[in-house]
Amino acid sequence: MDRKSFGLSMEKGDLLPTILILPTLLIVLCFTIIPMFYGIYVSLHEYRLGGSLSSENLVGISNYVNAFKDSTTKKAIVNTVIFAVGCVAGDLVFGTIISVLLYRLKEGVQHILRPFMIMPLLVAPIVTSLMWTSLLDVNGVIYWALGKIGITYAQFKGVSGTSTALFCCITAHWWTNIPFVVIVLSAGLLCISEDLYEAAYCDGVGLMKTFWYITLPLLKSVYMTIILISGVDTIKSMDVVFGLTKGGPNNSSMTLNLYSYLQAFESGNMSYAMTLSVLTLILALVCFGIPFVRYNNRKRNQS
Amino acid sequence: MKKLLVVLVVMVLISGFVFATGSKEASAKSDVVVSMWTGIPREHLAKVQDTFPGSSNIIVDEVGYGSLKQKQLLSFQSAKGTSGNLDVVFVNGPWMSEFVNAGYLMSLDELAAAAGVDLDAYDSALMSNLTFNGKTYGIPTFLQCIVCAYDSNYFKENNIKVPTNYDELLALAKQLKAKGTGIAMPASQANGSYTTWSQLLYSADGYIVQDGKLDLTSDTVVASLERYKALTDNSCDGALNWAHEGVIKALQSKVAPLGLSMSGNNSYLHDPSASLIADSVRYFPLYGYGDTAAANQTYWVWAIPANCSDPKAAFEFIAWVTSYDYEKKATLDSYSISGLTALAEDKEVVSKVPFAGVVMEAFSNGKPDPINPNFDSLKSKMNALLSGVAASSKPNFKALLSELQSEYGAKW
Repeated sequence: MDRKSFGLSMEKGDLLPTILILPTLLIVLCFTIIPMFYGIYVSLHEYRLGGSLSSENLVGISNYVNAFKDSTTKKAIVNTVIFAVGCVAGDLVFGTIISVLLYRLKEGVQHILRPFMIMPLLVAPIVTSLMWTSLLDVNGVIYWALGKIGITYAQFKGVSGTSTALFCCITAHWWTNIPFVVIVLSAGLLCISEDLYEAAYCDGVGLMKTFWYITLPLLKSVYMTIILISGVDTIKSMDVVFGLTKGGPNNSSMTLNLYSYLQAFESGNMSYAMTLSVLTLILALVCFGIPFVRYNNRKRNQS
Repeated sequence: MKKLLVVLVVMVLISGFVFATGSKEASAKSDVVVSMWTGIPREHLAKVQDTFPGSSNIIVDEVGYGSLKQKQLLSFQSAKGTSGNLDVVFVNGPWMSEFVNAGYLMSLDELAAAAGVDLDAYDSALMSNLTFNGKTYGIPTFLQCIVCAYDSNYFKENNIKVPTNYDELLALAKQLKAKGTGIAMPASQANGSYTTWSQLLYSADGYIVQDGKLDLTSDTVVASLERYKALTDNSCDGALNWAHEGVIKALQSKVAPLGLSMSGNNSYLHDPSASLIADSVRYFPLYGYGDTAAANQTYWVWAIPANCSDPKAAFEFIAWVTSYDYEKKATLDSYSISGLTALAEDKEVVSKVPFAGVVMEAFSNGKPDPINPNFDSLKSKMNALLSGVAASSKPNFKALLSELQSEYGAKW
């Protein structure tokens, strides 16, 4: 089929879809594109909360230069990547295990378990972080359970340790996000034909091999969608980290978005906060946006 | 039947007229919009707001602390008489110079003189912080600093003597740590750690600014960081992620028998419904060096924005909330410490609020945070440094401070 070329001349029948899509385009323009360019514009100035944004305060790219000199920003970039990769990896691994196990259960049991599985998704992230603060308290449930297997606070410092704080944030994020992955993967699993599993069973293929050679390849597109949505969401996320550690200790769990928030509302440095937000956007694009677009293009070319 | 209907209609009309006139009278009162953060001062005002004797309606625009400054700044920039205007602002002490220098606040001298309010009745050190070019821009209230709160029953049962200097405090923290508890302190990457460390520094008569220049590498600063580290090494497990609320919780639940609490939060320790030490909590100063205790002067200020359309009505409210009677009631009800010097000597206050004397003594030796556009940013880096020092086993104090000095020294 010939692809229609996008040009100024509209063929018959193109008018209605164009009119119908216009409101969406307008909303995207007003609430996404214009604010994004405004953010970039602010990042090129020296603008503090309560100050004025004028050409006198134009500093060009010096905020970006300062950002790459700032040790906290460098640390925050590394932490953001670790946080995003850790969160998405855990989401996928645990999400897959849970959805496959759920899928194999009897329908009645599935109906009972699914609503419970989805519950964390309905909890506000800041509430999640408060809940995890209590769980990770030295006198909380987690340390009680760790104590039962002989792990003490001195061995695992949780949110108070520089090497463990980010891991605790990742764990709390898993709890929030895995239900979303389970929902999407469950839908994907339902689309795989039962015949394939039956054929594999008849051939005497084991569970792991069935999963590896049938389930996993057929869920590839679903995984790519999850990686994009979950990945971008994780890079933007700050509430869990803010509630649990506020970026500490010693910035060991500081993420770009949280640092941007702190710069804006604790230090009043709006232009630097915008600079960090633009860097967050670029990071999201590089880590998840571009790979997704490339994957889509490759699939389109293959088909 | 018809007559009855007519009578009913007339009665409805009359009552409607009376109601309308009444509400007109009520709405004839002007509104005074007060910007405050959700916290103890607001909680107290909510209790007594109806008793305001002035001629205005008080409308409190209440937001979380994190959004307060932003909200106030946006309001200052709105034109006079517009809907976003605020009439009275409750401002954090360190923000005052920024607000005054930007021309956002009005001088209170004439208003105070006209209302017969004696500005000399308030703490002179704080009033000097609020005086710019000879004009007064605010009235201080809700004084806070970090004090040591302890469970006197635990001390009695374990024959523990109340410390009288820093060395004894540290020795006690070590003793408690050995027993499995430690000292509860706000050691997370948040403002509590900076306030604690700065009080240790001020107690040794140190400061981070010398002759107008940032000086983070002086021996006094380094030594205060070492003393801070010594305390955190003997803090409760988990304290490295505690802000002020964490300390209060640890004290309330007897997790720690001794803690460094922000005095503004001490009312929670006296609340019998939430605190197991409500009857036994006692206080002593946070000795930062020898037997000296000096506060990081944290206080709040009542001020009037320059774009306020009715300054007289606004000041009428300020005069009420800073009056002796109101402040005394606030102190007795919610354990907040006023800027009125006479109140510190009030016998009822002294007996009911056991830490009042400790706070006032520390305030008299204390210092406010330095005024500089880069201070907030430096403070946030300092919070990170302090949490790093607390988490690290062998930090290089001088190197860490030198790094911060080289980053901020030039732009100070």
